[in-house]
Amino acid sequence: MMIPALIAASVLGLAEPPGPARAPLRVVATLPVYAELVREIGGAEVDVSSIANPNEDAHFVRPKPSFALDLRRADVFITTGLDLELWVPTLLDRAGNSVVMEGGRGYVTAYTGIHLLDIPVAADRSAGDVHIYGNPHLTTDPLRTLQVARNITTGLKRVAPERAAHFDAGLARFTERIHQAVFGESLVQLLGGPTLEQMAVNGTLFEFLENQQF
Amino acid sequence: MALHALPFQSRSLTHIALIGEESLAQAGASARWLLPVGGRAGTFTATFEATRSEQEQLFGHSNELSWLGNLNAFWQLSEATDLDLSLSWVNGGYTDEEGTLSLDRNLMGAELSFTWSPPAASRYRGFNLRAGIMMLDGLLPLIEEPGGVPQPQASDQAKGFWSTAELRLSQSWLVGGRLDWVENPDNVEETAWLFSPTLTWWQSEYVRVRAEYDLLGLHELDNEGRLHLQVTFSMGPHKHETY
Repeated sequence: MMIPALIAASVLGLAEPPGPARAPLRVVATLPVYAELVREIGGAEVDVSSIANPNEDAHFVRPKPSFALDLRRADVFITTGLDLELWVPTLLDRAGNSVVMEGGRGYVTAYTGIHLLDIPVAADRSAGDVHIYGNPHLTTDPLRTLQVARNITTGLKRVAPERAAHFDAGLARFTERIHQAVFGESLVQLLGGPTLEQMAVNGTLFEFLENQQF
Repeated sequence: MALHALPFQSRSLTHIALIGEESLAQAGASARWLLPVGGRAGTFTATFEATRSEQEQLFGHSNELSWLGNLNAFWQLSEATDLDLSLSWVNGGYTDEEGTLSLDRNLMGAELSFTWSPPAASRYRGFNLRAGIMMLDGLLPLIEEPGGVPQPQASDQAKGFWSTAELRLSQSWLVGGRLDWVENPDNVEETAWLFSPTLTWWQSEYVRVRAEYDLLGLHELDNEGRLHLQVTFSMGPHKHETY
């Protein structure tokens, strides 16, 4: 049963064609949550590590030479891109890898395309420790996390365009899971995840739902 | 490195005696290579520099090139602990003001740093121990009195060591200490030592208040004690971080 099913999937273009074994892309992420998103999207096509530990305060990671070596070997580097990981420039400088330097094709910023919250009116210390560009803790919101995943996918495809279909498929699976978890299965079936996400992002979802009879 | 970034009020006694108040900052070319090994074998960085001999204490009035080589090795011993070992060598020529005396000089050093910093509590607990040795050869001859005949020194090498330790007690409070010992390169039979306990309070990430007591022992002189109080403010995202 299995073999005919696989042949059928291949003929219909549902399975990726077999090819020579490819070395996984080497990805370094500043935060473990970004690394987890890379695994979700890239699967076996990526070899990912994170600099900060899950139990570590990401603001205060000590830049170590071993991290610089990881970055030296990386094909893709993922960072928030704001003023959360102030230790990143030191490591990039030490690594000397132009591919993952800011502006390089392997440099990916998680915040791109995200509407930032909590942008301070005054960049001084009257309000204590502030992030001057806005709140960089993007993944506390599942829909912003989705945008981070899209940014990561864009970066992975830029570095390895021949694997774009694989990364797109990984992003689609992840997006579906987030939509189901946030909006519920029945609502997603009824209106579709992208529509619900769009309404949630522009702030019209609750008003819409209150005025509908299902 | 700026003085405010040092863990103490001043550079080590060994550093001051053998190199000077200023660090070895000279114009020239530098190349750095991050060796392609890692993991349990450690991370290695090699640096090579060719610079113009501008550091007066080391090279006098020489205009020749001086050479520096450094190998830094780093091992991550566990999630919380790491070890740094650095070996350095500097070679250059010393020429006196009149150009009548020329010496070939070598400065060699080894430095070790052990750090314990648990990731889950690195802002509240931590410990760092640093220690180093230095040796300078090509010493000037000894002139015991003005106008006297220069005599070779008892040794052609001046040596010294330095050590510092700092323990983080909480987010704001740290205690530390240092112990240095060095031979005077102008007369290696004279030695000096320095012991300094410190207490540091971080008012915030941007304001640091530090008290340091320096007990200095100089050859055949009474010990000398000094209390320092240092307040450091910083602005912007650059804090008192070292790499």
